[in-house]
Amino acid sequence: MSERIRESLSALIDNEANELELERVLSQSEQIELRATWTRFQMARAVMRGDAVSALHDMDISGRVREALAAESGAATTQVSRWRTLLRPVASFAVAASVFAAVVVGSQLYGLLGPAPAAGDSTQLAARVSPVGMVNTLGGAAVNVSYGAPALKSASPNRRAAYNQLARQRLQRYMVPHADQAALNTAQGMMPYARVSSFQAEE
Amino acid sequence: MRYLLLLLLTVQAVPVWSACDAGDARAMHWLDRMSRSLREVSYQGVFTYEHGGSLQTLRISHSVEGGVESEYLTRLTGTGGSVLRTGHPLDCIHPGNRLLRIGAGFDNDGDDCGLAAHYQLKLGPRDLIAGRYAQILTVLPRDMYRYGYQMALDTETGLLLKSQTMAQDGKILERFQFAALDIGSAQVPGTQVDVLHYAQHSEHHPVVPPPEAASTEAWRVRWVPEGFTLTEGESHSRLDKTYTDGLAVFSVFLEPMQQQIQPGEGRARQGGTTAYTRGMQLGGKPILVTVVGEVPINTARMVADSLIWTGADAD
Repeated sequence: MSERIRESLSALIDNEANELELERVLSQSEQIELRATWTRFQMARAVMRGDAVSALHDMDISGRVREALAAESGAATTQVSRWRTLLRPVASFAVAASVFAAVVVGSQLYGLLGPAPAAGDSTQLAARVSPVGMVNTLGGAAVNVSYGAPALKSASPNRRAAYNQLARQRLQRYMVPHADQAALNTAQGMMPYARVSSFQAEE
Repeated sequence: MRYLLLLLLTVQAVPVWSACDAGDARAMHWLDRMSRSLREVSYQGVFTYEHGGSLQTLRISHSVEGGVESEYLTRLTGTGGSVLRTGHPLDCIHPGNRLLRIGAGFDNDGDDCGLAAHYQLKLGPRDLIAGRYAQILTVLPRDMYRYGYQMALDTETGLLLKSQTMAQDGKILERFQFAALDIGSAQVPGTQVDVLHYAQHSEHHPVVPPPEAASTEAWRVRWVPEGFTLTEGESHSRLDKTYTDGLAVFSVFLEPMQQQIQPGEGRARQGGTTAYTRGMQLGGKPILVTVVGEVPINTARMVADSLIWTGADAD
């Protein structure tokens, strides 16, 4: 996703988008990546408010905005109020956008994951984290271990979503140092750097 | 009697390969050749990187002059960007290279099967990649902890022309493939070019530390799949470690947290790369562990799971 579209999306969320930016987002809203980013914004917000994440998944934002545009052309007198009403849910995502931005920068997700529960509870949860594959961490023999061991049962959907978000972010952040090592330690030479989606994150 | 003696000698000779698969020997030689030519041959070309629905095009040049290699990679699509690595001496052999090369032990005693101990190697038919004849080599994991690969190696030089990563179910996760390649000549631009990333390489020859060295570090993983080795010497102050088996690489990153976090785990995947993140307590402190690498999610998870705090270090 280009920086420009990301900016437009962010402006739209902050209710500061001009017509050009709005059109840019609408025209690209079919793109999977943009949708995914939008979904992440929503999820971040849902996690913050403690909503069920799944309910927000298939919300069609472009449909809603198009509706607003249609209403605008239809009734000029009610234009402003219609805009406000219809875009309010969009505007209120500003919180989500700031959360997302903070997440990208890093460090703010602690808040999202909340304070740890009481000590006793914490150890109990930690114990449940152990994956099914634990048994063969000491033995060397190949044991049938399926891909994608079951997810943490004790974690709420919100927390799981927050952690998946964290994993996606870390994948981007650590791709460069990982590629540095991969480029020296596989037979692919510098090819592993192709996996880095952006070098911009580098300081 | 003479025949019996001959038979005995033959039987005697067999154990050389008994631990390994005899069919692997030729394939091992191809891998050995690939690992050497990658460093020693000068080349430049354009290759594609494909995963999911995404296709990136990149230009690469690799030149060798006076025993020192220089490499330059430019992304021609997407966000662009270039990586430059210069002054890498050829005699600086990294653990990953060493694992692909046929060691002294491979031919002499049967204990060292090299990569063949963890992968089943099969030579396939010939193919044409980037206008060059290529030998197909299929590499399938012998356990569930790594991915499989299909490679195409240049018949003339052994260079890797194509490499695709396959999950256990045969699904192709990512593919690198040359579209055009010139062997024998390469121009790596000077440092004045617009470079976004300068790739590092250790100044010293990386040495795999003896196991005892592990006792002095503040943290370590108790388990990695068999055949994986550290890419660089241990340093307890480091918050990251990388392991390789010669084909697959994964890195472990630790982030001490400022405040308590709820325990949990998350995963992400892009092409052949998996990221597994877990919030946990280590040495009584909240910590975020992330395993990033070209391994199945279960492997990443088990590595994170085996992480232990070995206590405050001496220095």
